[in-house]
Amino acid sequence: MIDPVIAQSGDDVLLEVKDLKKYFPVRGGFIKKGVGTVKAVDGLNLFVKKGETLGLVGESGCGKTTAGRTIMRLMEPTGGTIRFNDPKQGWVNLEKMNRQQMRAIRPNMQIIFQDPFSSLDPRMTVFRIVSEPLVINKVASGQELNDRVAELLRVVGLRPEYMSRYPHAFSGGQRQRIGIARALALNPKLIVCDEPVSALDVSIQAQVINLLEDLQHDFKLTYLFVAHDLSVVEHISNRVAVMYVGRLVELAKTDDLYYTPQHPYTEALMAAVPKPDPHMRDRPIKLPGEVASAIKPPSGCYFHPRCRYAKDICSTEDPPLKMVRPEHWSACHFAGELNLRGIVPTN
Amino acid sequence: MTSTTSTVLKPSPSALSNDKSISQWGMAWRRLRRHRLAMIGLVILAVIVVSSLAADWIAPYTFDDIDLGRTYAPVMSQGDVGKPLHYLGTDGLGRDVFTRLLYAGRVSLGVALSVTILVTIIGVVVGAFSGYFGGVVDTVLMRFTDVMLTLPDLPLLLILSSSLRQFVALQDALGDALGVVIMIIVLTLFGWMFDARLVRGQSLSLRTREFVDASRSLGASQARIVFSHIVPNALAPIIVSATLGFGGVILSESALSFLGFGIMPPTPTWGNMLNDARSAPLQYLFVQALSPGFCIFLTVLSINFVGDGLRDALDPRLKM
Repeated sequence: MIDPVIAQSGDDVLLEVKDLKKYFPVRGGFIKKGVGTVKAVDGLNLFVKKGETLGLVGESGCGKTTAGRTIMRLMEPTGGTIRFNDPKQGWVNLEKMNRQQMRAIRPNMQIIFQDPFSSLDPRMTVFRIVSEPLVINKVASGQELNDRVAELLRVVGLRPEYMSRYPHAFSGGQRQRIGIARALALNPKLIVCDEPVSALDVSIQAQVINLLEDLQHDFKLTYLFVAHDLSVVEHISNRVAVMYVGRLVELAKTDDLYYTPQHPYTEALMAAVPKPDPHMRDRPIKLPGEVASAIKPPSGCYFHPRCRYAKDICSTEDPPLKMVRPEHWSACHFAGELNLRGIVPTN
Repeated sequence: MTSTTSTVLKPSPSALSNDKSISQWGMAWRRLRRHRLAMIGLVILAVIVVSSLAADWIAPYTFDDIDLGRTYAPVMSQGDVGKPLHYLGTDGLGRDVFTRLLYAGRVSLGVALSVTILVTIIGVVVGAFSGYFGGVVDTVLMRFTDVMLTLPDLPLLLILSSSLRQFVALQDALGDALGVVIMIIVLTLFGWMFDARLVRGQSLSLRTREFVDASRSLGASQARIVFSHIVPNALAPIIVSATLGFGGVILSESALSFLGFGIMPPTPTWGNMLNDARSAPLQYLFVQALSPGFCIFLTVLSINFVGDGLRDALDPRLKM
């Protein structure tokens, strides 16, 4: 099976990313000549089914945010394909669209940002922020616009009376709700959530996560949920994709991935999740060395210098993503052969 | 799953304190009002502007009322029978100095205002697009800006203002306003570069903010992003720069008019009144030179006070 992930695409799939690459040139020296490239996303494969939440996890700098933004075409992909199942136009290749064509697709895919302070224009009132998508796409005007904004604010749990205020008058959680209202305004199908709660306090995180779940239910949304907090991802995701240095290493249903990981990197990640029960303390898996450099990735499997199961083949051959079990893919030469530890299910 | 509509959040304490949250401009105005020098400057400016605008009613004479029988009349001297006093005396052609000061203010302030507005618009557009688009657009626009900055402006101002005057078509189209229009064009041409660089810097940092990405993902056009997100957020330094630039334009206009390349008599400006004062006999020189000089001094000083006040008031790091 050469491309098992893609073989899944069908009418129940909303987004399909194949071999996505995003390289950034590294410039150095006096004349700013290119001295290398950062391979932030280096051949990412994944698909998102309609109505599901796909968690995209990985440690800082593994390219998960870049992947989310490249899928949204906020950054230009270096290579690969991004196919989106548009409700009107059917399957479209986003990477081939020009600005004008993208504008027709954008209402169906929106993004929620990590930083609730930077993502709202400080010079605009809440009304102007939330109404911007409606005004740009000429959906509503006048009193109708006013009513729509009021309704959107109610939906995200804010009082419509606040719409004449400026973002600085709100707390982080409230501001994130404003950002969610803006993303919802055009009734999108797909929402890329770019670490939407990592800038918030834990108690506020729970509120926002619950809001996102309720909205998903009420508006039949599909989420691509980018995050590094494994417990948040476990809570909200139907399936989880794990990235390491710009590549997908494992993709499976949430429970399968957490309880029976099939990639040594996922095993190490799971061992790092803090456990609320002191009796369940077990030794974390220490990964030697540093995260592989995205400028000069190691040969073969990017993870092999840190992998305790590594064999000779790992440093020479790039492991393909293969299906270990139904709906469970892993990019490890020994996937399925190793006995890896997940987290213990709690009831 | 609970219904989302039933969970309405409590407002944060800062939002509760007043019904409508004050905009950043409201806060800036509050801070500006506490800046004593800026308020003094504002008042002086207001007096100068209002009296210039009301010159038709305030001025005792008309600005080109020549009375060769009363040249260099002293301060507070009598005019013709039934005519008002010459408060600041008369000049070498017997024209009332006070009257000419008022009308000159109108021209000088008008030129300065026009130039400042034009310079700001050009600077903002060039800078905002340059910074937002980056790449080739940025390189082309900024190198052009650099070239303009390296040109020695005074000699070019002199050449341009005298050569533009030669065009018959311009003379026919503009008539008496020719000198003023040329002055505005020339000063605008050499004034926009600093604003462009200032706005470019702001634009470069603003375009990486997430609200710009948000707007792009909503399908906003590039022009919309530049004019509704980049420019409003870069406005504070632009306003300060425009205020201080206004004073600079008055000085440049005076300098050009003083050198005889600016606005030509009989239209009075503070600069060409200074020029006229040069030919006054020594005993009259002080009054003749000081009256327009003091007007320039007072206006520019007030403007700079206001600019300083605005700089402090618009700095978001300073809380009240």
